[in-house]
Amino acid sequence: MRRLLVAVVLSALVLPVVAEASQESRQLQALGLVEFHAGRYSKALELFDKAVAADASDVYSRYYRGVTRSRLGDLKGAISDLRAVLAAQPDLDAAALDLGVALVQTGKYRDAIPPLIQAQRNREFDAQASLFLGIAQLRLNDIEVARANFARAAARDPALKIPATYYEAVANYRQGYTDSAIEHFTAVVNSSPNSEMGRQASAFLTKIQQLERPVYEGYGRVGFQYDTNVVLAPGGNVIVPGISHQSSGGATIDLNGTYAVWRGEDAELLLGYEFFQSIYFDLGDFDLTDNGPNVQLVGTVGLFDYGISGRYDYYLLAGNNFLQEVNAFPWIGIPESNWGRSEAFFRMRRRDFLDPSYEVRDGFNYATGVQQYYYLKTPNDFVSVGYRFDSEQPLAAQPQENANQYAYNGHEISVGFGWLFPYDISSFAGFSYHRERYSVVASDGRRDEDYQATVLVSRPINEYLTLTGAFFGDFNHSNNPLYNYTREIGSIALEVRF
Amino acid sequence: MARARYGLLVALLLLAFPVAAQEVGTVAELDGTVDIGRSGEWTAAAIGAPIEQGDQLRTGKRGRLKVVFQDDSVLSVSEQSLVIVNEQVFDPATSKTRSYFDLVRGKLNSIVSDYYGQPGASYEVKTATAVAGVRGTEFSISYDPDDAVTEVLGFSGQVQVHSLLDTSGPGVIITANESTTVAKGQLPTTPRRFNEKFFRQQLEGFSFIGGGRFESAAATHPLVAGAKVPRPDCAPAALPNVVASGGVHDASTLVGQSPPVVKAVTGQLGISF
Repeated sequence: MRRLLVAVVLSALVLPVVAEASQESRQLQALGLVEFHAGRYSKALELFDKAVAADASDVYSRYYRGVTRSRLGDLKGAISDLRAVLAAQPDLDAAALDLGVALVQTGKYRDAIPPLIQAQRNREFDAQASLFLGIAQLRLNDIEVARANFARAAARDPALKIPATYYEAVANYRQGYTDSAIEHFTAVVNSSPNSEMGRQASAFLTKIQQLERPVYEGYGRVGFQYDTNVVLAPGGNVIVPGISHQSSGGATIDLNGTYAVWRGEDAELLLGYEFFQSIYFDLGDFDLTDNGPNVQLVGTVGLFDYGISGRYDYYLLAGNNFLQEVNAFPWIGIPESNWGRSEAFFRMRRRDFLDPSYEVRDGFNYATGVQQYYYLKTPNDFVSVGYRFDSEQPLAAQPQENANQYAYNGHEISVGFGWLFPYDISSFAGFSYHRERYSVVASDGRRDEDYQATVLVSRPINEYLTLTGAFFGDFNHSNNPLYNYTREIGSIALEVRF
Repeated sequence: MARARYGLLVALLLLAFPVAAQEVGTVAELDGTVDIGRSGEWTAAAIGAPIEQGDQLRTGKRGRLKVVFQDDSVLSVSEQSLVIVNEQVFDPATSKTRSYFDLVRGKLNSIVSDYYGQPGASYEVKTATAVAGVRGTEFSISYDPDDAVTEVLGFSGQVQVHSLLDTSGPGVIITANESTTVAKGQLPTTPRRFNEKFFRQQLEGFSFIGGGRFESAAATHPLVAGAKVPRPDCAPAALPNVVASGGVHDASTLVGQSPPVVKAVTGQLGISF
């Protein structure tokens, strides 16, 4: 009888306490939900914290705290809550789904699979669970199963068609099913071209094209130009500094071929050869021939593009040996999402004039610079600014007193503007200012200020042919009258790529 | 006469510029089919939708709804119910706190906030056969129009239940874990206790995770909308398109005079040398 009395008293004391706690918890939970849905996650978390504190057994308050923590980026806290929820109520498939998603987000792919499979069995969560299950399996390289889950997600919920198709394409790409990958990526691009997923799908297509392009590439260009002031000493005749002050029309031929010796997903090694010939109609002594074998390694690593190019050129002037030149050119670029690109480079150049008249100019030139592109809409429409420093360091050649006549330090700033018009007409306008300070003693204090303007318009005629028209203006002001000159070139060129 | 003119003017102005309806609550969670009736029109309820005085809340089969009112009270409505928000006044400055709901059919659960513990505050739910008034408590009330029976369950505090036959009398007071029923034309039955299992069962119907998964990380993950692609699944960077050519050659470069003619002729963004 006494025991019964104690039990009655205890139940009278305990039951209201449990009910009170639960009531408070659920009230705080509801208040938290209002804050949550209004996007005030910190405030919501505060209320869900209080709700859980009021009744630790309230799985719903703990669930909502878990998803709020997830929104606030506290995935560890979210996983802890959702695990506790599932331990208390194993059949709460909503919590299983969210736990699986949080585990995928934290890279615990293997742990994510059981809760996602549980959620997948629930018709309401099947599509979402299949998508994230596929992602977990894809990351674990279980690609065949992942692909089946992506297809299932797309079939179960039309709202998930774009991400499921994207991921199915990724799975195809990784397995080397290129045709299927192209088909799925194209579907994503067509459905959602302006979304991040659409842009990534487009980038995949570009990558596939790049990987599938032939190992041999070549182009040839034939151009005609009119030069108001041909600048270079004609072969066999020394006119220092080589400014003819004569105009001439001319033709140019440029042939270039490359062969990809090695090509990986993130880098390629190319060997190339270029042949160039200019033919002046009136000033044949200025005709220049160049044979230029080259090698370049280009690639990407993390956020960077990188490359190093090496090139050897052997020049003939009017058929006579003129110059041999070596360039080494390492550079890096940083593609900045969709808004721009930064580049930095260094170039070392060694020139060895074979024409004795020019031996005084044998030497090294070191240049380093940076360039920043800002895309206006697409990479085809841009504004660019750049700076370059270069230092010309002639070797001590004969005669000694002239050795450093051409030694200088130069600074160049440039701006450019590119725009793609309808009908694929691309254009470029650029301006640069180059300032050179020559060796005071050897050049008698020569100072040059060089202004250059470039305008270019180019239009593809078909897949292989491009027509280009250009104007180049060069206005050099020097305190040495020998080097004052103006030069304008108009050119038109037809380029063939294959 | 002048006063009458003013009165007429005020009346006309009131007709011309109806007072904006006051938001008294917010939909905190819902599941299934839930509609809000306002000014004779029904619209589907949505998470975060405002609730105004006079609104009708209707749930369909498997429909559930949770509303948080301005006084922090929480009203949970079960499936196939119809509730009218007759009056909801909350003015802490003047201690005016009143809530009157009509339960036409179905079942609801109220978590009544502490404000109703103050003198003068009033929280009532009325059905066709009974009225339940509470102060600082939680209770459920259901009404079945077919049987014309109201059932009230107390979860905490006290609930005063009257039959509509006798609303001024003492009625019946139920406390935690007690219930009473009021059939049409009859007085409330004597309170009877229910066990904890029953108590939990009654509450379970009101605790739910909303349909539509508004709060789920799975539904709201940016990749679902295509707005974000996690880094491991992004496209590998395209190889930079740099040509080994110096662009169009110009002999003048060879004696250090000017750069290549129209060096951008290669059509590439990027570096040429």
